[in-house]
Amino acid sequence: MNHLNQLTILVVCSGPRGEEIASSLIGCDVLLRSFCKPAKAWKLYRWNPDKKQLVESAESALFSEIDVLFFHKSDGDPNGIPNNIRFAREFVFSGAGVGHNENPTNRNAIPIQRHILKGSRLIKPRHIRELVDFVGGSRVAIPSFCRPEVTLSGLFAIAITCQAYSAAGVANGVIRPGNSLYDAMGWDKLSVAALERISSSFENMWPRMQEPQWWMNALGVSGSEDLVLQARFSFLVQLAKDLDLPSASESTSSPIKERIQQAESILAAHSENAELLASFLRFENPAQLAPEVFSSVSELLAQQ
Amino acid sequence: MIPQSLRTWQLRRCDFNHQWLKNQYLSALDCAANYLSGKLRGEGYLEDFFATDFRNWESKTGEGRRLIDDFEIDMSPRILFESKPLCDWDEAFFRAGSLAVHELWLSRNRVCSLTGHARDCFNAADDAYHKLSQVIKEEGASYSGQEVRHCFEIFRSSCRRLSKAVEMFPSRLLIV
Repeated sequence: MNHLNQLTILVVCSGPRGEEIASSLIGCDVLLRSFCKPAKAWKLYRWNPDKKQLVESAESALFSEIDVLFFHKSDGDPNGIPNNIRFAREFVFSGAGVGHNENPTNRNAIPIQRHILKGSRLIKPRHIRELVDFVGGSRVAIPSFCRPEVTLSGLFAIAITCQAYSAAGVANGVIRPGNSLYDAMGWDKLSVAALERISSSFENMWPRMQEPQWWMNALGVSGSEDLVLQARFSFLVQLAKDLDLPSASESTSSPIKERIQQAESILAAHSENAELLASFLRFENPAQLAPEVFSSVSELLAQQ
Repeated sequence: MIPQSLRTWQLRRCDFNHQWLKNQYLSALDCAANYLSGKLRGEGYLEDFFATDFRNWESKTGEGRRLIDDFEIDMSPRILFESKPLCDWDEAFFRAGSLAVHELWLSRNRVCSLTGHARDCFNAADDAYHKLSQVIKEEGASYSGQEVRHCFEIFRSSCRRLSKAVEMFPSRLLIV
């Protein structure tokens, strides 16, 4: 920790991901070391959170002990790790993710298995707390950004989204005892203290959750029109897999809308519950459908 | 897909409760009970048992306590928020959603009551173990006293109750 009680972090990476990682480490004192090709030398930068940019810094800014090192696995970047510094924790990353046996150095670095897609953020604000706790020793498990990203069962994702929606409704006093979502989810079993904790966390969220866009974002069906169609199709295929049904053709030769229809038909042939989910995933009226959708998901999960 | 921690907790439970406590430790206690009651006779058996197998309890206490403590972390549906698409939710929705799902799970499944009961059983077994160890130390190596048999039975039945309490934890992710 530095004198401001911030985590001190060195990122060693010569590509654009170095700056992406440096900029995402909110609240930490972050230095970036990258190889400058024209000068044929390693240069040091400090992330300035106010200006939201990197500012060149003298090598003397490096402390002899730094809390965390993030370094890029390849492109010669491991050569930029200073030898005379002790790091409490080290992480090695790569755009494609780093496997357990892929660390090219002899360093005791934790591999970040997660893929880092261009423009995506590896470290989100909630991960900073995990990192601080991990370095401080109060967290034993490695921070979750190290783990490969897993796609959830479609049934689980819908059930959880419905629960979050109903929680916001309960918090706003819109969903009350007697409402099917209230009774089905068991909100009556919560203590007053638990309900208060939930209520304060959902403040002002209810109106946004009425919009189809919130449901689409929540279930990962968002982006341009083409991406939405593709994501909808992927979700329908995932649901079919969850239910052990034959998948719709994933071949890209037929138009996406045709493949979506095929996937919807497969679900409709399975059961009324699955048909309802297929229709819900058109996102025409998702908030209104939530009680029926939750009931259908519950029945489908109970059958598994 | 199911996150790794769910599978790991279930495997840890299987290792502790099924493989060790039930199949090994309670079996050894049952066998020793037969010697203590005089149904079986064998010179030196109880001396060996109390010097070795019986002492395994001490090396397993940390594992058992951690298993119970970790249930609320590893088996909560809150961990589903580490997976796509939930991990991509806006920060505020992520925090509120994961809190609500966790609180709902705690209440609906009486998780605090389950973990509390398992902890009570664990503490009772641990107390009984130490009491029995003390009695053995005081009585010497004859193992014939009524106090030894009494304390042994209390320990054996508290181990059984602990095993039942650990079995009561759900074996799958409960989200609906």
